Amino acid sequence: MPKTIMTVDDSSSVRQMVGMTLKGAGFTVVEAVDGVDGLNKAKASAMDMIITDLNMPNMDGIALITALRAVPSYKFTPIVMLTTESQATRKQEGKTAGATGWIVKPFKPEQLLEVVKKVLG
Amino acid sequence: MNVEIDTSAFTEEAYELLSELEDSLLELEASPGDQELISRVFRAMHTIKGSGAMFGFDAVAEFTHEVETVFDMARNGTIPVTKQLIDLTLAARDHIRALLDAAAGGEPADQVNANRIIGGLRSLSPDKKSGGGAAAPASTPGKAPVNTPSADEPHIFRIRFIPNPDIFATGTNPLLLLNELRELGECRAVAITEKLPDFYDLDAEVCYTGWEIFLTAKIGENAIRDVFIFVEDECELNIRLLDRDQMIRDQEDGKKLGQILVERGDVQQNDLERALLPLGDRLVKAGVISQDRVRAALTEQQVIQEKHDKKKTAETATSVRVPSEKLDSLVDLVGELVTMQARLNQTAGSIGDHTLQLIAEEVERLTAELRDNTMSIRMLTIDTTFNKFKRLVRDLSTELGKEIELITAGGETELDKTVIDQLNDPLVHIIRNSIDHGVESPDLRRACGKNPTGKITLSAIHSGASVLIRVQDDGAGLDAQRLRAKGIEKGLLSPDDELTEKEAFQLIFAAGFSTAAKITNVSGRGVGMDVVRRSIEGLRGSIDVTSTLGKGTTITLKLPLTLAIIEGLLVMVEKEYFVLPLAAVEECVELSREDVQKAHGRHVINVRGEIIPYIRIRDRFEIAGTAPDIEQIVISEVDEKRIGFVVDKVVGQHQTVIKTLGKNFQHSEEFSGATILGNGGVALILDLTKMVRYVEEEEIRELDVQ
Amino acid sequence: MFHFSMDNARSVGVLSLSGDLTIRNAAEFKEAMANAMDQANQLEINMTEVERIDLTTLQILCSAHRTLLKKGKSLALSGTVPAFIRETVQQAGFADCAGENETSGLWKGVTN
Repeated sequence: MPKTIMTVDDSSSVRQMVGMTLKGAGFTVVEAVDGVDGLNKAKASAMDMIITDLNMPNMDGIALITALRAVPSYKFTPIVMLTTESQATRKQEGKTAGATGWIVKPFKPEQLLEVVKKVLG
Repeated sequence: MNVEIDTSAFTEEAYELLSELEDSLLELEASPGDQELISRVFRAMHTIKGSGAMFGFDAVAEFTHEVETVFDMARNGTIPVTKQLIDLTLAARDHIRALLDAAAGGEPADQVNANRIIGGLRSLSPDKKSGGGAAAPASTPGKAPVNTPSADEPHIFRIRFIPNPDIFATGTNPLLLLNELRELGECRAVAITEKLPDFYDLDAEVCYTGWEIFLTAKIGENAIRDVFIFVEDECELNIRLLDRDQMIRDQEDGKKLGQILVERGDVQQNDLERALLPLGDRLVKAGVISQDRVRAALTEQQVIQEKHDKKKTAETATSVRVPSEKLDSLVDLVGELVTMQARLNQTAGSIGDHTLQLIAEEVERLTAELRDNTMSIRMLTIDTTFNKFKRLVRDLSTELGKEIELITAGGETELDKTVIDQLNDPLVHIIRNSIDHGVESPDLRRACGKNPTGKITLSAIHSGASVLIRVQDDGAGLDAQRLRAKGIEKGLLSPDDELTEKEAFQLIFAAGFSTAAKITNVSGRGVGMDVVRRSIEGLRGSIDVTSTLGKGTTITLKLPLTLAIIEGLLVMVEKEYFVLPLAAVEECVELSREDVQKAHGRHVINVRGEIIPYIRIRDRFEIAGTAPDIEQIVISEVDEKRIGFVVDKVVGQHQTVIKTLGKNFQHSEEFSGATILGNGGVALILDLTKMVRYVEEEEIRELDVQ
Repeated sequence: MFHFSMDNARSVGVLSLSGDLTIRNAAEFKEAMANAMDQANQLEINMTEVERIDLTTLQILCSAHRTLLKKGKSLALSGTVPAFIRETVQQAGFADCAGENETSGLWKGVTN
């Protein structure tokens, strides 16, 4: 059974790139446009992994991670955040909130798949 | 009692060491600070001395001892590596060779020369030097720190990875990190579970496990740290390069008893583990150490030992020395087997028994494998031959006052031993020619705006079933006008002969042709290139020359990979069988009566717009009978031209074991040998190059007569 | 997921596991283990139907095994252990774990 990964990002181009890459690698992909959307979709159906942007309207990435970790079924799910080089402190915040790892933007499809392999197997 | 000792093992080894020694010395000349090279020279000397004494070669041992003593000083940095030292050592190396030759019944070695060398060497040592004083310590710029691991050797890392208890809370799966490590190299993990509580105190969602991981990989520490990048702050990570630590520990403390016992073979690793485990138990009970730690320590020891063993196996398994005659007879036997197997196939086919056919097929597969294996055993790399020329170029260019650098490439290319053995003399001729006639003197080169140091490149590459060996110089190049004039002067061509540049270059291969204004010691007396051409053709190879005036000359030798067995195309004319080397064959087309008529008596055929001349095998060898209505033309590439060979029938591909023919066989020059067929018949192997050449010569003669 | 039964003929308790056995249900697995341990002096675990395991599975089995040994009870594996589990045990460095000696190791004879 293919594993399901949710990509949460307000940028449709990033969602598209992440989505295409993951589908190409055989994953089922769910897209969410912000933290609130992401949290709702995560509660509605089970995700094996979540890739989230940090800066988003409505609910940002850090808040989403915190909220997801409070949901029993997402206590141990790999959550990877998308950061930029300049967001060193945000990266730390994310880890504290319970993120598994990060991907620095901009990134190539191979780098994305490497990280997925690293945290999801 | 007199015991005869077989000394051939020593002499064989000594000759080999001497040739290595020469290479090392020449390399050392280029980089005099290289400690590894100095050690290599020292070790070679040391081995020759030691074994020489053991096998009763006292003269060799005594003489080598003198050289070794001086090189030991170079090794310790007491004296520097100078050109003088290298010159003397090279001379010493030649003298040792002379001593060995003398012992084998050759001419006695020159004692005066030996005394001169020893005198020279002794004068290099600081305490014998007039003027005394401390000799300047050798500069050792290239000296590598002892413990730096080389890049291409795998290292053993011990990775202690202890995740924080709450690591699961960030969605981390530690086992995936171990998987990732496993992708880097050979990996063995021992779980440290000493913190794992009693079942009733266990929190299922807490990580209690840590690991000691032993990773053998050709990577740096950073590649390992990258694996743990997401968990840096959530674990204890300690990475240690083991082999280096181990080396230092071995030097300082000596090895642990258990380790030594295992290495000596007194105790098996398993026994040691069994013996140590109860100790582990006692320690565990005493609360000193956990059982996992003991296990980790044992694993560590094992991993290191395995690497050590592997290295040792690699070192000892690299070669087995076998006299080459044994290989030759093996090849002969395989040849007989291939022939016999063809007969078996044929017989099985005619009997039509299915089981027998299956067996025949299996035998065929095994024979092919055996053949390929045997051939590959006979393949040697050409670098030994190449390396010999370093010395030649060095000596000859010094003698002629030229500065020449020899560059070799493709030394790892493999060729049949027979080919390599017979390649030496032709290459010597060609390289001598390049040094003597090709590369100009430094002054002249400077005047031409060239680098005063000339360059000769010796290279080998594979090209299909052949190997191309090139000798390329950046010298004066061939002068077509001068070659032509010379040709006329020598009576090789008439004054009104028109020559293309390429044809003019071919003149250098004509017998009795020498372009050098003066005859020197170096490049013979005009017997060079025609002899070279004949030897190369004797190896079923070909030779070609290209040149640009003022820029240099390139001589290319095309050689078959092997001499013993070739892939051939079996053809028939009447009841006679012939084999054409498959490597030369391009295609087969039909020749009908119509085609012949269209050509109006000329022996040419139009193949897709290209006019190709052909030779009728039937006519060439005067085979009686009538040609069939439709004949076959085997179109082959000969001397870069397409030429057809007309036969009655093309039978098919054939594994051809080459047997040489007697000299008095008619047309023997046009055959490179014969082979025995599966039905017991004989097929002649056509030497296409020679055949075409003879036919051309005959045609020219006929034209002259007319 | 967790099914316990008593084999009265042999007076052995058998805990049959199936599906995913990971941190997501590690607490439930531990619970099921605890119940089984209470009911049988000799316990067998059947992992034939298990599809996924992780480190938490290994920790629970290892700890249970040690605890039972200390109490003079026993824990063993029954049925075929799927190849991926044997591989995980080996790779995670647990192959020798929980064995005070060669005969009692939980994974002895299974991993080789």
